[in-house]
Amino acid sequence: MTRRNFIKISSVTAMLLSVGVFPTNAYAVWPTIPKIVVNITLDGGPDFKHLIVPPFSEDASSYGATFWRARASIFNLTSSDSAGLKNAYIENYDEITVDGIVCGVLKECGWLKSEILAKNVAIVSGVVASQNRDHHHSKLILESGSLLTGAHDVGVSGWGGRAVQALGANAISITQGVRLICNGAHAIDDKNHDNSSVVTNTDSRNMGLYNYDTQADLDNEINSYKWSSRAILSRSLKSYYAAKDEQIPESSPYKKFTKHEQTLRNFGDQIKKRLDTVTIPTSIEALHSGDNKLNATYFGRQIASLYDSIAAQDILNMRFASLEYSGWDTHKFQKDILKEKLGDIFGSSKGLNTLVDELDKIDTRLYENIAIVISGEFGRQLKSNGDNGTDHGRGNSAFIIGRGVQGGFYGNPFPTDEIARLEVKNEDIEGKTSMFQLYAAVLEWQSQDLGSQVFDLTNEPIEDGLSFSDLFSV
Amino acid sequence: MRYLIFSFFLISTLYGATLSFKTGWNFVGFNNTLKLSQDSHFSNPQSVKIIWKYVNDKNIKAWHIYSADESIKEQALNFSLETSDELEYFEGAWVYALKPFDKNVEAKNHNHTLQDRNLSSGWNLISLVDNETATTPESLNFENMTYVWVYRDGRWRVYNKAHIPEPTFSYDLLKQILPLEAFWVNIAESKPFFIEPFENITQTKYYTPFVITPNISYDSAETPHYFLENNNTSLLHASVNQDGVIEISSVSNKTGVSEINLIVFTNSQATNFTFKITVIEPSSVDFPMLDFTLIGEEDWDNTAVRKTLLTFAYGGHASDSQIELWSNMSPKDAIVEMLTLNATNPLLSPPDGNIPATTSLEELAAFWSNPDDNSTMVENYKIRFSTDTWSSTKDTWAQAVQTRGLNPFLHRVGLWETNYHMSVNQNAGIYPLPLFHHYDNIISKLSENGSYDEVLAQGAKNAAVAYQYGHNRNVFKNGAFRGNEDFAREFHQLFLGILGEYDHDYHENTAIPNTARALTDMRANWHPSEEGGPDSEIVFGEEFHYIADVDILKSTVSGANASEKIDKIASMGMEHSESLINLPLMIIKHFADDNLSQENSLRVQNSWKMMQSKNILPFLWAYAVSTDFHSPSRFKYASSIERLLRVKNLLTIDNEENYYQLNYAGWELDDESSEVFRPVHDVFGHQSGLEASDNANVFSEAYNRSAKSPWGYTRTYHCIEDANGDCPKDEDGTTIAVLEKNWKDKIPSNSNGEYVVEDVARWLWNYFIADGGKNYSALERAHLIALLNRKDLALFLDSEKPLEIYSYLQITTDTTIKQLLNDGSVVRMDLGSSDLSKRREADYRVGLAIAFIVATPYNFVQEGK
Repeated sequence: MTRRNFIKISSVTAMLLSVGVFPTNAYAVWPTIPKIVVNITLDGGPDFKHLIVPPFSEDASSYGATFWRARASIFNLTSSDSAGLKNAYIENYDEITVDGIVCGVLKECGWLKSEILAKNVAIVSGVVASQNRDHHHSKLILESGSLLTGAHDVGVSGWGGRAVQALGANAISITQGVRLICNGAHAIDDKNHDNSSVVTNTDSRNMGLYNYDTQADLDNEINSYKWSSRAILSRSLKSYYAAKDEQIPESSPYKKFTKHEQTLRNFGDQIKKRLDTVTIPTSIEALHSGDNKLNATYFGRQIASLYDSIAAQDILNMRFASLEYSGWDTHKFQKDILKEKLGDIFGSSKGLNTLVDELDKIDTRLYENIAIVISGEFGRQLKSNGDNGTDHGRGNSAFIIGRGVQGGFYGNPFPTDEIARLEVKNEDIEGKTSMFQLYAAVLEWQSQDLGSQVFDLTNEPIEDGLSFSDLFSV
Repeated sequence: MRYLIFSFFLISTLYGATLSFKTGWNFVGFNNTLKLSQDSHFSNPQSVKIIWKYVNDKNIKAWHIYSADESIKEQALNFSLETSDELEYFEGAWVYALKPFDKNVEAKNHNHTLQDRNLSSGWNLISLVDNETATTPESLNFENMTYVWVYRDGRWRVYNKAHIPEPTFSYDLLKQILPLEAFWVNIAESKPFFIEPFENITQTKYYTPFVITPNISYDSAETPHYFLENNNTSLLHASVNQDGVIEISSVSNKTGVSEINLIVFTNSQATNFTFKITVIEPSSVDFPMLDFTLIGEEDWDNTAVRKTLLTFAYGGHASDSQIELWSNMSPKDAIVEMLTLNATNPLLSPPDGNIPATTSLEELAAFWSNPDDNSTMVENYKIRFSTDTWSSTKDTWAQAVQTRGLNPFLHRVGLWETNYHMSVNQNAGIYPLPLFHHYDNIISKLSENGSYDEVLAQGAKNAAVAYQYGHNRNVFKNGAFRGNEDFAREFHQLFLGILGEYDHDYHENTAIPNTARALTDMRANWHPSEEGGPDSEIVFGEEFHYIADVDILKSTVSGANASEKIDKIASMGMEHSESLINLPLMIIKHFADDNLSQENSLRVQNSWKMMQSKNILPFLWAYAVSTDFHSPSRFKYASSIERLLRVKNLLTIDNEENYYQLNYAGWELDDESSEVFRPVHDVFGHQSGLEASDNANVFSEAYNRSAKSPWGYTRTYHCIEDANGDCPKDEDGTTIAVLEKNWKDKIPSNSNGEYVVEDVARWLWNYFIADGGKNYSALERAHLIALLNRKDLALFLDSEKPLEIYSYLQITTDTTIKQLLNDGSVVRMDLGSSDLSKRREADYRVGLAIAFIVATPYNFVQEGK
């Protein structure tokens, strides 16, 4: 993070600390809560057509009938098995009506269903980022926010990173590696990035660098074994890095590491002090250990780190958080795979449900001021393959979730022009709306004009009649 | 004195110069012959006490003095010292002045030049005749010249053709000889030695040992060093083997040379040496540089070799003398020795014990897990390598990299192919045996010098890949294709680098679906473990194969089964325009460069394209000795695997440490989310160096490992613990170990057998960082001196202020700090002590230094130059 941001935060936190014992409810002292975008990237090309489906229909020419026939193999059925297909719909989906459209929501996603009904979910259909079906390149395009990003441009900036730079804030990377979406823009080289506004918080309760002793320790004669290897080396390295940073120019490839050291040292102590006052809720902890752990405990740990990051938001100056969940490239056996993964994210008492419930206990305004963006690099083909799965497509759906969202369908989830294409080899969802139009709208909610600062929407399409101007109500 | 001379010369070169003498010894020369007794200063005993010059006139070698002081004249007589009243032009002298004075020096009044002077063998004390121009020692160019020494500003400065290592505290490198400055030059007496003409040498020959007296001995603090020069100016190299025999080797394609003019100098105390001459057959592998430019011989030095080894072989296991040998060879000759795809490479990884010479990880796993042979691996850890154990693949791979006697470059390439390029993920449920086969089949193909399309085709035919993608279920049955297109796509995109931009619709609607049909009837079935587990190899059937020709990459692909079709797709795909653009960049970005410019990229692509038959080894050879690789603009961030394996490799002294698994990398790789064969991006490959560099968490793990958990670096012995977890002790309370660390087996001592802190610090830095000292500033030096004295810098400089932070400026300007550091730098370490506890303490301190070095920014990224 930049020194400017850090100093600004430090003074605010110092002021708060001067008030007295720091309250666990950090937000009680904040008159407003900043708007935060939480982005969850589903790597592999998630098949959201499996999450929200049209009802099965006996009318052979209807969308519902052709949809279920085309996807029969996912349920181990043949396309001619109408009874089986109807049963598959009933057994696997809860039927709801949204904006007058009847649809089924996967039973494992009970929380999502209730949030859709509460109008907290924008289901955006027919969105597209990349026009090719290559995972790697499509992800680069999705996260960079530009169709011009080449297949080898692994060092470019990401839209989340550019957004926080414009806001003078930080992107919190909660993933194992820092995703490209967090990369800030480099001052002079558009193929490069600047991550001084990224804070890695993968393991929130163990953030920071080892520090054997402080002046207080020495004064109180704690850590008296100052000749130990730990003592010697921790003092050596701390001293070395403090002196080294000024020797290394900004343009040097070595600079990243002195910056890491600074960030970790500056944040580590403060985060630790804050989180010592914040008990991790049992329900959050259970997402990655214990009886209620998610199928992907890694996602559970990310939710925990996200919770902690929000609890320390003022220290971190967080306006963007990056999470990930991989394994959505369901070429085979997708029914069971997606049941687990979608359940982890959208299920009752699972990932997002637990997070939101716990945030509401802190302050109900939090969920109003958080927009959860869920998308993947591309969608899947309309018709399933011979391996009980689906192959790569292009167009997809995306979800924006939050109490401030104006929920409902954006774009037609079941366009009848797909019917003719369901029988065409390798056909997929036609992406009529650029994903970047959607992301830009989310950023506009965060801050006026932020969307146009971060994205160049000149040639980015949006489906006729579709607008995101009312995507948020708050 | 020097500065005065320069400033004077700017103004009035025609009128000579002014030589300023300071009180004490002055090391000077004159451009004209001086009659000392007629000189007002030299003939004044109150001004100059004594003048010494050294006369070396073939068989006459003696010191001559001059003094106007009668008592000194008398002493000279008593010591039978020659006196001389003349100081000739070219001659250098020591002048002891009793007080400062200036002396006008006339302009040169003759036409003689230094090159007119015939120097005799041995030491010659001379000076430049030309009083106007400084000169470099290289340009002196005396025949058989070995050393040049100058004493200036209180320090000795030295030059020698044999590139003695970096100066220590006792002297600096000599860059220039100044006018009116005296200098010593040593001329070696040559010893002609005749060998069989090189052109008649058809294989490596070892001549029976013979004895030769060295030409020159010197006493210095440098590590033992030998230099030989033949009369064809082709540099030979000598190194001392374990038996104390000096081995001279030459890789030369200079035919017809039969006489080697040996000029031997050494800083060993011995007076006679046994030599063994090896003339190695000129390399028959002459590979083209493609579109790369070969690095200049002057840039192909010790540092360049070390950088190459760090990049391509996790540092390798070669000795310092082998590295020096490679640096003295032509780069092309060196690289073909350094990087091979054979099971073993004795030069890169000298044998140490009985390790099977196999490329196969499965065979190595069997070797290390053999329950009937306790000499291969300590009992407790055999389980790590049992193929029943899911982690056996990653542990076997790491062990193969670290084992002396195998080939770390081979396994470096193996990692690229199986964890980045043709990646499969054990987290996807790939059993160990199919994974071993995936690795082994690919490595075998590489080792057999298979073309790269054959290597890719082999990868595509491996069962592990089929399990990963599911195309082992692809069939063509009853006239219909049933299966998925996952691998059909990724064979093009990940293996060949063809993304479909050549014709997007064709790629999606024809090439990929047709490739899926080509990948039919590839039978690999899952069986429960009690039945032997899943098939490790695919059986290619025809019954359910899509037998018809298919249109792929706008060509017809035919084949009776999937194997034949895969071969054809790979062969065609390798020459596809998109593959030619993307695949070579994927390779170079992975191995070596995170900062490819457009020009670099073009050269990489052109070079790949120029290869008629694509082969990764000659491609990497050409790149590794190119100006692109050895460029200051190149840098490469280390992935966690690269950094950790490199450090573990360099930490390992010998295979006994591997036997006890002292440097096991598995836990640290897990901490950094970088388990081998579990790539973080699944089939899209493992963590890249760029990703690692952006991840503060990775940095934090590495940093905290040094600060909080440094025992991996500082351990000095290994013991067999009892049931309570305690090491056994002898009657004196000293721990009884089964293995001692013994850094003395790696770190060279000086000529006196001493391990001086300054030398050890610099050696460790170069060993782990290999930057030739570029980034070894006063700050790094200060911290390492302190650590090798068992303290952190603050404690070392002032024990009352342990949290003090000392800046670079303080360290380089504060005289007290400088003195303390200099005092610390000359301390002798007990690395070679016969006292066990002292030796362990010294090894421990080396460990502290290593823990520090590997946590500096310089261990996370490598520059090209």
